[in-house]
Amino acid sequence: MVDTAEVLLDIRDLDISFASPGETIHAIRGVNLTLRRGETVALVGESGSGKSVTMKAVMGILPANATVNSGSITCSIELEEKKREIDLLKADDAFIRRFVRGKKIAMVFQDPMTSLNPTMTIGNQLIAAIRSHERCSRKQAFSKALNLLREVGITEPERRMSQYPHEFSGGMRQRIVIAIALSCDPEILICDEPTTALDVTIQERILELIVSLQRKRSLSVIYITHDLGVVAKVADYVNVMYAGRIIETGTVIDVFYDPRHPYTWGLLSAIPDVESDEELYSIPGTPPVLSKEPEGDAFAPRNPYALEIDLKAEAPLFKISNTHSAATWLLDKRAPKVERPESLQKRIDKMKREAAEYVR
Amino acid sequence: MGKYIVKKLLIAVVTLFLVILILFLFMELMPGSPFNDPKLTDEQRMLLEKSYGLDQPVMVRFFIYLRNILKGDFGVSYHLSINTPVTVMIRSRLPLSMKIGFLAMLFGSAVGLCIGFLAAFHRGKAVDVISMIITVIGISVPSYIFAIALSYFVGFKWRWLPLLYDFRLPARSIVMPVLALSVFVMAVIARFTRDEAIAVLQSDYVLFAKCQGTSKATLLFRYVIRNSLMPVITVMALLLVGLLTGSLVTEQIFSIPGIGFLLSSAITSNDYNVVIALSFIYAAIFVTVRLLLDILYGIVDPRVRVSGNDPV
Repeated sequence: MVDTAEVLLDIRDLDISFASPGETIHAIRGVNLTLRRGETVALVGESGSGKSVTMKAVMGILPANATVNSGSITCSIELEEKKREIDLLKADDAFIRRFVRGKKIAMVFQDPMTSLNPTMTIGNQLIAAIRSHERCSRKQAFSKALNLLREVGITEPERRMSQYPHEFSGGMRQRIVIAIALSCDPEILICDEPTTALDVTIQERILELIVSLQRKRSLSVIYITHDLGVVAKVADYVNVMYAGRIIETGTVIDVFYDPRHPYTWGLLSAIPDVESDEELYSIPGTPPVLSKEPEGDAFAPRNPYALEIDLKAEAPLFKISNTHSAATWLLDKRAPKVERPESLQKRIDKMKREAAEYVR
Repeated sequence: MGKYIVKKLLIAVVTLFLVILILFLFMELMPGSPFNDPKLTDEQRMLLEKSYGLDQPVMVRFFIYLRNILKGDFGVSYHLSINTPVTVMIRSRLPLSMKIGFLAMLFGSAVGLCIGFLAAFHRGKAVDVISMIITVIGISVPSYIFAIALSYFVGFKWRWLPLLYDFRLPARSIVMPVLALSVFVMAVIARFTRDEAIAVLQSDYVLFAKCQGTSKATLLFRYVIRNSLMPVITVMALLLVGLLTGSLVTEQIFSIPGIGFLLSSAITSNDYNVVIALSFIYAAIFVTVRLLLDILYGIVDPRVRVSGNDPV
């Protein structure tokens, strides 16, 4: 399967470090990621693996102590009716403000309780967002804001416009945040853990909302999450991040049904399953602190399948198919043949069965 | 909003009542009497106390006093300016103290806000470091040191401004006291503004607004400044109370005929009515400012308006 949709965002060899007193933290160590029109890409990993930092680099909102050492983030932007490939890392802030933030790419944050200005009405925040990219009267902006609220499922939008964020529940606030994010019709929506701060019943509805908006507006979406359940529901492509690198990448089918990296095995085994009697698996140890370069492979100390080479050198990305690659020495020709743990294989078989039943 | 204001008003009235009661009882506990002159015999002192009604039991005096206060009568001075009504004494001195306090507040907060925001926007840079060193000095060095330094150089050595308060030059006479008092205000507000602004700048809603391509001006005025100002308003109001009621030491240094000067003299001479009346005015100003503050908070912060809860 070769994907031919237009590439909207292309991150190449991104490398970022943070200066903190006394040490440098090498947070992103060569990330590659491609987002095509209409598709959904998930970025999965533990806290501190570099998911959010990568997306902050895209939005140009890295903190002041961050340095981009190398790499490029290419985005095609229409300038004077002509499409141009722009490297966002080289563009100046004024350009990104005018043509990228909110206009081309919008971002929704994890916690809707803190994402809205507490001293501005919802209406004014929407109108301000609309008018930051569009020259229109307050009246026009107002009616557009009403439509946006309707679109995200807020009832009685006229009354809601003059209310303040604290008058809404978490789920409603996230809907409003999404409405603001979509206010200037961006092509790309980045969702940073969009449902983590919400309770489970609301999570489902917000996900459904994002999926339906995505279809209606043919949005391309990047999900940053550690919830593989969310990934399975919404994503076309999955990128598993560990210690600032993408260590396995592929379609949802590739990664869920044929995972190759022991870290991905761990993540999949750690999904709670109500029907199973087995004890819930957790990956032993903690992610490395990247203040010094890991010796050998970053995952080796936590990897029960680590080979001798893992302690000496970091595994390159081995290609498994056109869409699927993983960075583990187990894929090297010389490596001994290691099978996935049996319990995981059972899980995968079960997922396949369930999917088949669902299709039928 | 109406219910909220009524509730706050009632609390204010009760507070003031308690303040008078406690003041009255404390004065009773103080040793000595207004008539401490060693030349007076015991009979003479008794006679004097009887003529002012000081021989009555304390609670009786309290209720007489309370009744008189409601009529606007705070009694007469026993010592400082014998038999002059306290209200007359205060009325001639309060405006000057308030004027100096208000100007110090205005100047101090204007400069303080500018320094605070500037430091926050250039966090960690030279501007930030220098301004924070200045504020540490401003907070930790008492204002009378600045007052003495000013009066030595500007008043005595260079003779630019009158050394002591001069009735013929009222405007020029208050420049130095205003400057001396404003240093602390400036430093406290700068510090507070900086910390608040930094917290707001790092907040999710500013980041989200930034991600929407919101213009710098909107971000600055409708997001950062407005949200950082709320807690700063509280600090400003509380500082204002301290300033409006005059500064004991600064008024002494520049011999300003204000109420701070009056209070320190009244305390040393046991002039009960003056002390209680002035303390009551301090408390009344404090309570009024708190009340205004609560109402202002209700206007600025929508969360307070709806719930009617205490904002602080």
